[in-house]
Amino acid sequence: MTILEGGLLLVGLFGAPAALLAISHRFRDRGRRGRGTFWGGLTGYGVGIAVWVAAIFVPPVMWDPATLRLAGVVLPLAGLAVAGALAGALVGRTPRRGPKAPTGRVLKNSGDPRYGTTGPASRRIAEGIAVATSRRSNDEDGPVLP
Amino acid sequence: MFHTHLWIGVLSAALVIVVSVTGILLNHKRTFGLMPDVAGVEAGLEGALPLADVVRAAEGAVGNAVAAGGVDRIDVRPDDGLAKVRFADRLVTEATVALRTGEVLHVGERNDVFLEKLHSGEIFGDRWTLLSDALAVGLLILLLSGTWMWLYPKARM
Repeated sequence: MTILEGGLLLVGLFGAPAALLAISHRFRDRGRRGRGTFWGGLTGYGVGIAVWVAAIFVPPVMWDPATLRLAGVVLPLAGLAVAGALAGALVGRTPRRGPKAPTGRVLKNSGDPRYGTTGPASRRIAEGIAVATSRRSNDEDGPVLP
Repeated sequence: MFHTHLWIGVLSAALVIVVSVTGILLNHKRTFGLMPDVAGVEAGLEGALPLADVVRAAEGAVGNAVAAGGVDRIDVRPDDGLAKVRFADRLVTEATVALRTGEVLHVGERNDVFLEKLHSGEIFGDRWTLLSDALAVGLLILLLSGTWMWLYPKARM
């Protein structure tokens, strides 16, 4: 395994989950693209692990250099995670239930009532409804809650 | 503590899967047919052929392409009356030879060797065993941090 192949494998093993974990930080404050990126990346990484394990174990013999199987060992973890994240960012949408996802990050000292997600769920939902109701007049996506 | 547990858990997930699968397969390698299971012949070293003759018989059985890679190791089993000659080819071919007669009892791949190297990380390169070490240390930290959070659930550091 060359240095480049080893590097790609390491990126897939550690870089991709680290990036997903970083994106998941303060997930409730992410916009629709951030949420889509996370879920797409997570799905891609899950599929990547399945492909990776299959490429490693089938058949249980050493792989040859410059083969499709070696590509299956080196690439799928990082490649499918990135592909999934990109796809998720493109098709990401506002969640159908719960408070509407903000369009950008909510800063701590901005005075925005949406900041802080550690309260009871009922209070957060009530706050989300209040925010959504106040913005319904110029909301392009339509009503947030049924 | 919580974030340590979280980050180590997420980062080690893929490797834990591989190490777990290889561990299970290695535990049941005979069941899954990952190594040949040859019945023993007449036991004892008395009247056994010289190792050179055993290797010659094995090389004749595996063919020139495999034999060209050379012999990796010879596993002599006096209690079974046989020797396993393992070749250093990519497929890890092994010939089982009767010690007294030189008869080749079986020729096949040793897939468990690949799994052992994968289990230790050696399959990716010599230094990749450090990754396996790091994973072991990470699992110990997970054990400690998980216990800590179980004992002190409100101390979410």
